[in-house]
Amino acid sequence: MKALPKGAPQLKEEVFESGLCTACGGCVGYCPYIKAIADRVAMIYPCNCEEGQCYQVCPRTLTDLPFFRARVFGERALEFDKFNQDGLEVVLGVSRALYFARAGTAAGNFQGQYGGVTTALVRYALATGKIDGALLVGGKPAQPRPVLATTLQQVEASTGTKYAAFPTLSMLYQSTQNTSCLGLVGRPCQVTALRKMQQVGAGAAGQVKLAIGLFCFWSLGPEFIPWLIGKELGLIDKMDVTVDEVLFQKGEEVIRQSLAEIRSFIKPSCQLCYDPVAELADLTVGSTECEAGWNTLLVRSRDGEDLVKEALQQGILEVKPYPKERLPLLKQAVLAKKQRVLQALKAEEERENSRVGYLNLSPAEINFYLKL
Amino acid sequence: MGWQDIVREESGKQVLLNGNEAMARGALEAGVHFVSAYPGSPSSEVTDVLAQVSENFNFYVEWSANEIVALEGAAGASFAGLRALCTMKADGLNVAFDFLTSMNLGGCQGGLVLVVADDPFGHSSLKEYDSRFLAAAAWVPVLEPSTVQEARDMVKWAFYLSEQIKGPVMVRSVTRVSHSRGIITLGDIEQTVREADFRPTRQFHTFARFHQEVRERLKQAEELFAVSPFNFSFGAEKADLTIFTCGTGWLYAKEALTSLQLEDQVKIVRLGTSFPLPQQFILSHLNGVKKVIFIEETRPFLEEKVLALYALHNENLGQIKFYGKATGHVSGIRGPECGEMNTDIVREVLVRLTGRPYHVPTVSLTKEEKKSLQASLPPRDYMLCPGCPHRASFWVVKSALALEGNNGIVTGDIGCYSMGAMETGFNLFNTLHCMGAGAGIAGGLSKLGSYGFKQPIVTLVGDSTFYHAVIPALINGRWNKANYLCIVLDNGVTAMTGHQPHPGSGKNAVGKEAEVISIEEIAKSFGFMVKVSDPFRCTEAIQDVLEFIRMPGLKVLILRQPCALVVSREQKRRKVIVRQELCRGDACGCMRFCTAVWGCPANVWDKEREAAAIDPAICVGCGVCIDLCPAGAIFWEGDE
Amino acid sequence: MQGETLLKEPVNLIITGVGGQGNILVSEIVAQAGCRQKYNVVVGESYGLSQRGGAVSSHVRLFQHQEYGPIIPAAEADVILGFEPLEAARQVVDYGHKNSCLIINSHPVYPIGVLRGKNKYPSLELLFKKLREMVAEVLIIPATKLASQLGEAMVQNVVMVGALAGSGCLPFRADTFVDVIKKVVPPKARALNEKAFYLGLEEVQKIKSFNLSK
Ligand SMILES: Cc1cc2nc3c(=O)[nH]c(=O)nc-3n(C[C@H](O)[C@H](O)[C@H](O)COP(=O)(O)OP(=O)(O)OC[C@H]3O[C@@H](n4cnc5c(N)ncnc54)[C@H](O)[C@@H]3O)c2cc1C
Ligand code: SF4
Ligand code: SF4
Ligand code: SF4
Ligand code: SF4
Ligand code: SF4
Repeated sequence: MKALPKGAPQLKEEVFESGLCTACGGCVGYCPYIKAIADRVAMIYPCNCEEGQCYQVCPRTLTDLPFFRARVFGERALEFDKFNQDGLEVVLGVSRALYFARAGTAAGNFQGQYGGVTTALVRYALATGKIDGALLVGGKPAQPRPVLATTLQQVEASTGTKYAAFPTLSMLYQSTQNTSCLGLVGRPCQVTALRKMQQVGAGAAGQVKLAIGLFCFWSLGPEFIPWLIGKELGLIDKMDVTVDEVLFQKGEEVIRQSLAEIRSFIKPSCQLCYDPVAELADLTVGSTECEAGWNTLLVRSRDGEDLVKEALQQGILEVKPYPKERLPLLKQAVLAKKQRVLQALKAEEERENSRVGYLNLSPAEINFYLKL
Repeated sequence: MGWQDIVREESGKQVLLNGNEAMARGALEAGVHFVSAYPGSPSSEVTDVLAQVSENFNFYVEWSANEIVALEGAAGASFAGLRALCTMKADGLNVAFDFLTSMNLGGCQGGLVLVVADDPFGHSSLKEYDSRFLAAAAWVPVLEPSTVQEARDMVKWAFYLSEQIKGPVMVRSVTRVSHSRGIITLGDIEQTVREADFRPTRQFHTFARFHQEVRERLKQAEELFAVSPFNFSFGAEKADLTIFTCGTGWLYAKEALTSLQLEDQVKIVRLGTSFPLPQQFILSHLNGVKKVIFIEETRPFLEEKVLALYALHNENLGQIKFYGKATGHVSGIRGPECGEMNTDIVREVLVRLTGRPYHVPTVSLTKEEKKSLQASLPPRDYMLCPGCPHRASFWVVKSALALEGNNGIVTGDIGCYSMGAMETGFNLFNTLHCMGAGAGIAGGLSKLGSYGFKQPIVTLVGDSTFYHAVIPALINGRWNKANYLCIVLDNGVTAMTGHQPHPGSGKNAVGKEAEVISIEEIAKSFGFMVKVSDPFRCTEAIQDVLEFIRMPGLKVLILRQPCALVVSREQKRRKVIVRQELCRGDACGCMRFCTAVWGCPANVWDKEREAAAIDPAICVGCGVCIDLCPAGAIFWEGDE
Repeated sequence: MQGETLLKEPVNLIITGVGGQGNILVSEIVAQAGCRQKYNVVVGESYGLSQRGGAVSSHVRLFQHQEYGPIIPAAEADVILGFEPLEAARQVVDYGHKNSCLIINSHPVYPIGVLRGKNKYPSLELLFKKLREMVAEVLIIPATKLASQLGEAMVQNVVMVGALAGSGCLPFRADTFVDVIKKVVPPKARALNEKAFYLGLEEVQKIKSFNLSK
């Protein structure tokens, strides 16, 4: 992909001012113009560079998905891109396997969000020297903080989902002299940004050898945490979301609120997010929505597959087949999201054939979703 | 410099002084006992100098917290029969005005002289201001020097006048008197050994019934003015065309007249006593005149007064045509009632009215030459000093508000940090008015929630301003549940006006140790949430600002770092260097941030190497650019 | 007592530069030197906010017969002593005439608009060429460079006083200047300032003899 002749002014207009910033952190901290404090990202001073890295790495500027699928998955992506097959691939992205999974007995001592698969895998990769650091989001749900974990304890201390969007990719611009192989746990938009960063050699993105994506249908904007604190929920230990409820857990106590309560905090950028399943990750982890204590695990890349195999052998991970009856539900959810977004993007700008909004997609892919 | 001559040289000696030094000398010669002031350009050096020499002469000098307190203190000394001087800039007179109008009713005892320095053109002020109108409104006599010598003479005589009429007297200076240098002859220093004497039976009260007494006092002043050598005429004995002038206008008028060789056709009437006008003196010079030109700075004060006088006497005086600022005939480039006076303006009017052509003694450049040169010259805006803590504070607030979103509003006020309204301060301020105004405005804005106002509000105030004018606004805010963030930019001194100490400096006017009145303790005692942060640690400070903005109610955050000019004078600076091979320069990832955006004058661009550099001559080693450089290319020397 | 008769009355000198360049010290030195040689002087200065990186200029006027005000009329500056090329040129527009003598420190101090990329600083070569076409004499002094050789770039202002002394534009003797400099600078800075003065004096003499030989 050749460099786009666009820079900061366009990023400001097309992303920040259009409310499309996902707070991935891909542009944050490289230069003095874009900064983040906690979960807020802003361009603090106008930069007039017409050809800039920020624009190139942002997951909300022109993103050539087929190109990146090919970069990450090679041959498999070519076949995938024809969109003439059925099976889970088309909707869930390139993949090699789909399981229910959870941390095994040898995984270590921690309490994950659901099955703890994410933490188990990151911890294992670190313990075995496959990576020497991991970019995680630590802290409690109301005090998220970026963590570059280099010890097992740090990984274990960073479990649990923080629903606030947190710009962890900015850590790739900080001094990473003591690491050479990194892992990343991120929202799908962050995985996309990571791939774009790797493409232009931004920061230490090249060091990231393991990208674990999380299922994500939305994240929450910067007004969410002040709201939590205002509700005296600033000290909750865990937060979970079901179809129509939010659960705040503080010690043993669980406070339930209607999902409608927090809807207004959903980032506008998430309404236009095409990828709830981290298509470009090595592995994607989500909830099962039915079995507590288990995760959904999508194995995508060869590297991801190798890691999962090894983890299974070592008792780090436990898997069971994905229940057949649930697959249509999962696919339907993803499909519906993709359709919604493509329609919205298309309505917004009818420009080129193969391009919908910020996405460069093959005509086949567009037809697949819009004609269904 | 010159001020040393004030004490070093003997009476009768000719020395070079500026107007403020000369006024200080005038007060010394009058044997002043008590001096109080709040600094403000162009008035500050009067009290600066008196503070330096007070020990040699054993009188009392203080920098006061604001102008009204200063004037009240001076009045106290006068009530006790002592000679007191109070100095301020024109804007300060507004602050002192309430007291001035009150105390003038009850009168005073010892000579009480108010020196007020106006700043036509606003060289170092946000507004041009003609304080004579205020003095007249308060019924206070005004003397107006034209030269450095007269500045000395008039201050000295003002003490005498004040004691004659038993009321305060104002000497009105302007930038071109206060900040002019000229040769003056020193006079004797009066040894007025006086005991403070305030008898229990003596009363100084403000009551409306005393207005008559003030009128009497003005009449008495006018009688003295009628014979005062401060009023005189020059040029033709009898002339159809007469220039009435005062203050700086006098020498410009004279130069214009002589350069046109009109001395025997035109008369200049110079008024040194601008209020109350010596009516007989003026009437005698209006007699037989056909045309009158008024030359004065800044507004048509003399003009209005003379026109009013003419209206009363026109049947005796016959037809006179007037040319001045009110009529629009006398005008500089900014228009008739603003800007400074100069010889060219006077000459232009004279040429127009007399038809006498002006032959420039030099060969002028052509219009085209000037135009083409002018076109190639970019303007030069003010810049905060190298290492100025305000630059870091502005950056912190700018960043925090950008991160907070919601179009935060910043209200500012007066001091070096007024540059927050300019490019060098990242054009941060939405409002800029007088001292303390930012806090009051912030309070008002924060009460507009029910009208849909939801933006975050930050006010930036200086440390000296905090004591001077912010405290009542904060009390009001607390009382009325205002909701904004007040950031005090505390650099330890009143920097703008020449680094005078303030109540937080731990020093008084004469350099002696003094109680530190802590800003944080004051703010805490009001019940505010208070924190002191270091603007040079930008990231932490941004977090603090954000945290404080989000907290409900009125909060006070103090950003504290000493003024860079003080630091560069007092401390050994640590050297800062750029490793140019690491510098990203003009490329994406920096875009010359340190020179083009941050804008510390010591961050310079090395054209040959296409990389940034540090100007070692002016870098004060604050180290902020080291932290801000995205490439980590700037280092403390030795750390690289 | 009166000094030697002035060739012209008044002699008008503008000292200009950027806030913080030591403008006021120089106008003090020149005025004191005038006093010592028994001339009457008046100086008009503006400082305060302009100290903060803005343009500053002082007007110095020497006279013997009639008293003058502190502002020089348009197109009547006989000498412009500029610590910064842009500011020197700016004064030429308003106050220069064909016979003006310009003495300019060639070291530019960039205005913020130039640093921010909004304006362009003129090419020095073209600027000086233009000035040479406009006025009688233009002396370009590398004063900041010379001062840096002494280890203190800040004394460029006194280097420029040396250049002014050597230019012969004012009827003041070099030793008058040196005496005044010794009086007005703090004792520990005297040696440095005296050296700076002579560096400027010699530099201007070199330039003048070079110009003559052409
Ligand atoms: C904003 C958000 C929305 C999500 N929405 C869905 C959804 O709609 N459906 C669904 O099935 N799953 C969703 N998930 C994923 C789910 O909540 C779990 O994170 C995932 O199933 C992993 O579970 P686990 O038991 O392996 O967690 P753990 O072992 O506890 O590991 C969680 C990991 O996630 C990292 N993390 C936590 N918060 C963030 C964050 N904000 N950004 C990046 N990394 C983070 C932690 O550092 C940790 O490594 C979402 C996650 C996030 C962050
Ligand atoms: S990444 Fe480059 S283009 Fe973007 S804001 Fe930074 S310097 Fe400007
Ligand atoms: S989405 Fe990511 S890369 Fe794009 S502007 Fe936001 S933080 Fe920067
Ligand atoms: S929904 Fe999409 S855009 Fe929003 S946080 Fe998740 S991956 Fe990012
Ligand atoms: S350290 Fe940097 S910011 Fe501070 S004065 Fe020096 S150049 Fe300026
Ligand atoms: S901020 Fe750093 S990288 Fe950028 S120009 Fe200055 S020294 Fe170079």
